Amino acid sequence: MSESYGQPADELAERHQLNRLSPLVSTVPIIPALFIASFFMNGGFLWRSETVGVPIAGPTIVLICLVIVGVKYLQWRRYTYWFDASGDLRIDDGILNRNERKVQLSRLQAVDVEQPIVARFVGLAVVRIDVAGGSNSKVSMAYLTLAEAEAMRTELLARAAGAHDEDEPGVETPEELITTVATGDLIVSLLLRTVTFGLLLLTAALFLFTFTVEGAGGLLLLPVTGGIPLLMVVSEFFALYGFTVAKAKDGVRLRRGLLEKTAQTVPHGRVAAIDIVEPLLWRSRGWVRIRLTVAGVSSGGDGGSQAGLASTTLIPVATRELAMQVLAQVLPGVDVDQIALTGAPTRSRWRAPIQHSQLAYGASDLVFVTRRGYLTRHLSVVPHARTQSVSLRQGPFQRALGLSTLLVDVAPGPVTVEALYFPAEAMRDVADEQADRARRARATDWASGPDDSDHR
Amino acid sequence: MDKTIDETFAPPGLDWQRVSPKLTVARWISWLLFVPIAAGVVALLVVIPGVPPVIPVVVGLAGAIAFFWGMWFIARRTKSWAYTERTDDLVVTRGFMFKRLVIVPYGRMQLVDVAAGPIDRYFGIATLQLHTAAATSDATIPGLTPEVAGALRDRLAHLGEERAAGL
Repeated sequence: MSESYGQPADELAERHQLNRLSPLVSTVPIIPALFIASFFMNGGFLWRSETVGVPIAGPTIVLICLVIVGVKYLQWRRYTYWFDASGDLRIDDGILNRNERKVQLSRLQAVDVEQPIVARFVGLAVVRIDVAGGSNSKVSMAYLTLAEAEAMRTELLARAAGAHDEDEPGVETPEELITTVATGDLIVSLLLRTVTFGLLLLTAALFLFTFTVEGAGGLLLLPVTGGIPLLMVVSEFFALYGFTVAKAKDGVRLRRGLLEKTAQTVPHGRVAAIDIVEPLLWRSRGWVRIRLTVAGVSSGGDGGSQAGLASTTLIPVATRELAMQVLAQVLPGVDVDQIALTGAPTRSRWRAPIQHSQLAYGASDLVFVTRRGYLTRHLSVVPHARTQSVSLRQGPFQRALGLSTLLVDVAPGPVTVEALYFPAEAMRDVADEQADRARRARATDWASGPDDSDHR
Repeated sequence: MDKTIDETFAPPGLDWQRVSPKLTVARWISWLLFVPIAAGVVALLVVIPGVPPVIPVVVGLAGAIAFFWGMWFIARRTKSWAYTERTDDLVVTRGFMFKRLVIVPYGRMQLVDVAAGPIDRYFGIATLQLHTAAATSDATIPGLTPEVAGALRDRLAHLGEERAAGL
């Protein structure tokens, strides 16, 4: 992304600055940490007046804050952005190490508008831009007013789609609301997740054990068995609260967050893979969750952070019917329920006694799907055009049964597409077919939107 | 095609390229490190007072069996490696205990790496690695002579550019 220095500046382009409150707003979140540190440092002597006559901590914190604000002010003064002659976003910043970046919008993967709690009070927002490729592919602009941030998003997405119209720049098109997740459903669904529920059961068992048997040693485990699910549920609740899915001109807009609000946009055709997840205890209610992989927004792996989890969620909980409507927005023309699935052979029971009845794979002319998992059922979908490579694997156990596992490699993210435990001979042909389907799909890339300029 | 490659994982009728036999020797060298460690353990058992003399003998025998089994296993595993360039993709097969067949379309290759460690350099072999946008794509070909590796890299890079298909 970074461009060599000494590039002729675009004389005509108008350079913009970030909001003038930015230095203050980005300093405020540091203050609580300073207070906490001052209390613990050297047994809190900073807060006792005997040493110097006054509690020295107050003035020190004020001084540190002033220095930070000063540095951030200088950074803010240096930070300018504009659109260059080729229509790409340029950012020029840095005091000691100057840095001029060119954000190539043809590779844009997603644009998020976030409102951290402090920024929300003063009506400011951060624009986060994800461009595919490299570790340095994330750019954030902090802070703009919410209106400016939304206009910026519209502008970026329009330019990325090649639909930029010089006459009317940045008009926010009306969104069409698809669904809002009810708060009650969200709480119940988080509690009924397989992991959460399992740990809660364990907690209950521990209590029972402690009351029937003498000695409270088992209670030492309570923070682990009870604390972790509680933390998980609370943090996911905060991140996913008020989840709405809306259809916008430039893609699907996902809004969420209780304290920190985020509006994420999944542009048309950028979805690398999706996973329809059904925990055991959700099935009687007919609920599903959909996770998605967008190249560049990789962050949340399987054990990823909560922020990563939220940013790879297409819908946290919905009835299957509703979820399919949402899915149709990001993968137009795909109806996973119409795809004929092939089940694993009976002998796969020896390798997977519990989940073997769920194991299946199938393909349509647009996507490849696999199903696996009993306690938590995963139906993973990858468009042929997003297939990176295909591999067939077999360990000693699988060989003894004549079975193998087919893996379709996709961009890094929460979705793993694997067809577990199918006859090896047949799967080799399926792997070949999938490689061929992927090649043909790339030739006529249905999912790449109107102007996919990364075709060369 | 000899029996070192399972036909399921190497469809017959393709022009399979084998890797250099030097790879086996290079991997054996690393395995030799096992000898001083095992010898050290045996020596220790002999020196420690109160250990019945039968124990170091049994441990030594077990170590020797493990060593030769390891040599045999390494030979089988390195010989199982093969690759073929098809019209639209590169196919790599490998594995003895854990078998794997990887198909990487040329259009999806983002980067082709050639690397060689000190032991590999001594034997005049190199490892070629393909990268796609997926971190899980695992296409590695060790045991190539530097000329073959270089030529293959250039050919793959060229094909990759010709058929680049974005992400």
